[in-house]
Amino acid sequence: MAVARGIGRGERVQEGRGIVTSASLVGDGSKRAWSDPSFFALLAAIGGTYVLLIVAMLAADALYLLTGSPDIPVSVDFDMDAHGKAASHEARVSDLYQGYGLTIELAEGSGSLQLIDTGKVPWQWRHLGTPHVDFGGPGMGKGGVRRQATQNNAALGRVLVVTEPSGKENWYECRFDFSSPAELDGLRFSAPLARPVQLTVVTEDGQELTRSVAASIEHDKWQGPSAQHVLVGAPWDFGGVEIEFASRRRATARTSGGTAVRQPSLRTFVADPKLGRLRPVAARRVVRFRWTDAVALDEVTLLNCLEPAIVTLRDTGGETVHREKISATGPNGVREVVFEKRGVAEVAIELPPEAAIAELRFRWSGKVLSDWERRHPRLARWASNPLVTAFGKPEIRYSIKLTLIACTITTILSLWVAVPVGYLLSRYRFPLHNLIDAILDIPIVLPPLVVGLSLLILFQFFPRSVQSAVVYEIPAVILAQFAVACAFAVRSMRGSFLQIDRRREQVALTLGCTRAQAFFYVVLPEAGRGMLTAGTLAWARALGEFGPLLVFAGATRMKTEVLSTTVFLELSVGDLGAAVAVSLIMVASAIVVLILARMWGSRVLSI
Amino acid sequence: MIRVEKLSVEVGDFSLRDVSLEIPRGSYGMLTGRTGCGKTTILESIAGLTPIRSGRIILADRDVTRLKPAERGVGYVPQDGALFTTMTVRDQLGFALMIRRRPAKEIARRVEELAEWLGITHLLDRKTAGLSGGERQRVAIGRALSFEPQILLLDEPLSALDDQTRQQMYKLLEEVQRRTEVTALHVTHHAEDVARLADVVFHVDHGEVRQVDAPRFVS
Repeated sequence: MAVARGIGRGERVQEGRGIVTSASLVGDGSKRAWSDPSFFALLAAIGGTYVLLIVAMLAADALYLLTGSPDIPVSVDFDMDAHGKAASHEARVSDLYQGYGLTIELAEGSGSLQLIDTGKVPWQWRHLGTPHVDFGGPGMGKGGVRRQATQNNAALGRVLVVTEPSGKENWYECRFDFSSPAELDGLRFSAPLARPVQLTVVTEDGQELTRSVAASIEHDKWQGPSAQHVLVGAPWDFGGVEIEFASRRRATARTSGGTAVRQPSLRTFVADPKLGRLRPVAARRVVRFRWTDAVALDEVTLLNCLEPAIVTLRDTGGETVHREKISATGPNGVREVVFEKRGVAEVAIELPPEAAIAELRFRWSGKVLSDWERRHPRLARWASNPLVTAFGKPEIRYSIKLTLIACTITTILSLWVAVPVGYLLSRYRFPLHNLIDAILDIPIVLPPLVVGLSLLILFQFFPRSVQSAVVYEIPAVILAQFAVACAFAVRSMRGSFLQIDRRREQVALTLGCTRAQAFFYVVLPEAGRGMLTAGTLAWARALGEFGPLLVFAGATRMKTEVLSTTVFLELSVGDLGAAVAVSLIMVASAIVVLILARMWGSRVLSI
Repeated sequence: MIRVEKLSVEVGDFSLRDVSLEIPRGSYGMLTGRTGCGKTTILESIAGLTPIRSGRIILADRDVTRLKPAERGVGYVPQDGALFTTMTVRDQLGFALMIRRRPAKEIARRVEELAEWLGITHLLDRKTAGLSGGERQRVAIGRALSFEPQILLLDEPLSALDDQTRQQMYKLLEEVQRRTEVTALHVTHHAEDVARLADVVFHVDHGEVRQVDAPRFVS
C-alpha cells in the first residue's frame, strides 16, 4: 500500500488503497491563495461603487433630516387663509394669516386693506381684473396684454388692495365683452324695472356712451354704434338682463347670485356689488407684512403698478436686508418679483396708487415658535425634525397603519397562491405549461402604471356595486399590490420547489402517502425557507408598489394612502422634509422585516 | 416475491421493451448493468413511481400493475437515501405508521425496535443533517421497513460508502433479509455487492434483461 505525505499545515493523508485526499500541497499557501491583493481590489472597486451609491443615498436622507431646517413653502394668495380654508370677503385681512405668525397692516397713511376678487370687478376697477381680456378675463389695460413681459394671463383670484370709501352705494353691474364689435339688437330685463338703470356702451375706439334706460328695448329697436363692451349697472339689484346682438344671438347675466355666461364670441361678467362702495386710494401707501419668526421670502406678485413700487426687507432686528425698486407694470400688468432671501422678518411694500398685491411666497419652519424654541433654536430644530413631525401628522400615522396591514394581507394572499402554482409548475408538465409560465411573468414585465390601468378597466365591466366597493377604496390597495407581488412570489416558490429533490416525495408515496399527504408532510416543510424568501420578497414588493396604487386605488389621504403614495403626496405639496422622513420610515420598516424574517427563519426552521 | 412480465417503459428518449424477471419469495435479487441502462427505471416501475406502457407487475402474488405506490406495499430506498430533512430520525422511522394512523404507542415501540437492530438508537432525536453515509442508509432502510413491507427495493444504496462502512452494510442487509424475510431487489454496478448478497442476478444490457448465475452459488 502506498502512502503519500505532503508538507505543510492542513494536509490530510488517508492510508488505505493509496488514496491521498485533500490538497496537501497547499500547506500555508491557504493564505497565499487569497493574497492576490490587486485582483481583489479590482473586484471590490467595481462592485463597491454600487454599494457606495446605496449607502450614500441613505446617508444623504438621514443627514438631510437631522441637519436641514424644514422648509415648507407657503403661498399667501389671499384666496385661502393659513388653514387652507377659503378666505371670506369680510375677514379682517390683518388676522387672516396668524397661522403663519404673519400680520398684515397698513404702515402709513389712511385707507383700509381689502381683498377683492379680480374675476368679478366692475368697470371702474377694470385695471385690477384678472386675467386680461386677451386671455378671456375682465381685466383691461395695456400693461396686461398678450406678449408683454407683464402679461396678465392667469386668474389671480383675490388680491390685496388699499381702499377708501367711494361715497357711493353698492353697484350691481353686468358686463358683456365682445371679441369683435357687435351690432346690438335688443335688451330685456328679467323683471320690470322700478327705477332706471345705467346703460354704457363702449365702442371699439374706447368711447363710452352712457344713458339711462327705464325699460326693455325691443328687438331691432336698439339704435346705436357697434359695441366692444356693454355695461348695465345700478345701485340696486335689478335681477338679470338679456341682450340680443348681431344674428339674433343672446347673452344673459343675473346680478343676484350672478352666474357669468360664456359664449365663443362673448364673455359675460357679473361684478361684486360691494366694490361699488370702495375705490382704490389714489396715493402711495405702504403695506407691511410682519412675521414673528424669520422666514425665507421667495416671491412677491404685484398687479397694476402704474408707477414703480419699492419693496424693503428687514430682519428680526429691524435692520434692512434688501431694498428693491420695481418698475411699473402698466395698467392691468402683472409682475412676479423673485427675492429668495432668508432671515426676513418684515416686508414693507410701498404701493403706487391703485396697485394691488396678488401673492406672497415664502418658506418657513412649519410652525410658530414658542418662547423656549426661540431661545434654543438648535434644540428646537432637533425636536421638530421632519421625522418627529411626520409621526405627529395623523395622515402619516394612518398611512403607516394601512401600509403594514395591506402589505401583510398581500403577502399572505400571495403565498396562498404562489405555493400551489409554484408546486404545479415545478412538478407537472401539463399542456400550455410554457404559456402559463409566460403569463405569470407578465406583471413583472409590465410597467406598473399599465397594471393599475388594466385593473381599472377590468373593473369597468363589473356591476356598479362592486366597482364602488373596490375602486379607489381600501380593497383596491390590496388588489393592486397583490397583482404585482404575487408574480414575484410565484417565481420564487417555483425555484424553491424545483430545488427540492423529487425523490423525497416519491419515497413518501411508497410509504403510504397520497399526493396531498406527501405534499403537506414532506414537501411543504422543506419549502419553509423558500416560503419565507418568497414572502419577504412579496412584502417588500408590496411596500414599494406605487404606480398601480395611484391609478387604481387613488391616493386619498386618510383612506387609501400608503407610505409609497405618501412620499408622492408630500413631494407634490413641496414638503421635502416629510417626503424624506417617510422614505426613511419605509427603509427602516423594510430592514426590520428582513432582519425579523432572517431571525425567525433561523430559529424556527433551523436555517 | 417479485414478478415482472413483459414490462415496457418509456422515459423520455429511453425505453425498455418486454422486460421479464422473477425473484422468488424471500430471495435477494440484484440488477446489474452499466450506468444509465435502465436499472433505476425498472425499480421505479415496480414501485409504481413511473407509469408503464404495457406489462404486468406481480408482488407477493398480487397484481399491482394498476395500483398506486401507496397500495403496493413496497419499501423503497432510493439513491442517497432521500431522507426528509425537516424531520428527526425518530419521526422518519415512524412516518409510514403515522400515515397509517397507528396508535402512538405502537409507533414508538416499532421505532425503538427498528433503531435497535439497525444500530441507530443514538441518532433518534437528531435531524438528518450531519449524518454520515452509513448512518443515512441505515435510517433510509429503517424507514422503508417500518411498515413491514414484503418487498424491498434498493437503488445503489452502497455506492457512496467507503469500504469499511460497506462491509458493515453487507452484514446489515444480510440480517435484514434473515429477520424480515422480504423479497429484495437491489440495483448495483459494483461486483462485490453481487458476490456478497445476491441469490438471483439479472443483467440489464441495451434494454434487455437476462438472468445470470449468482456468484454465491458458483463454487
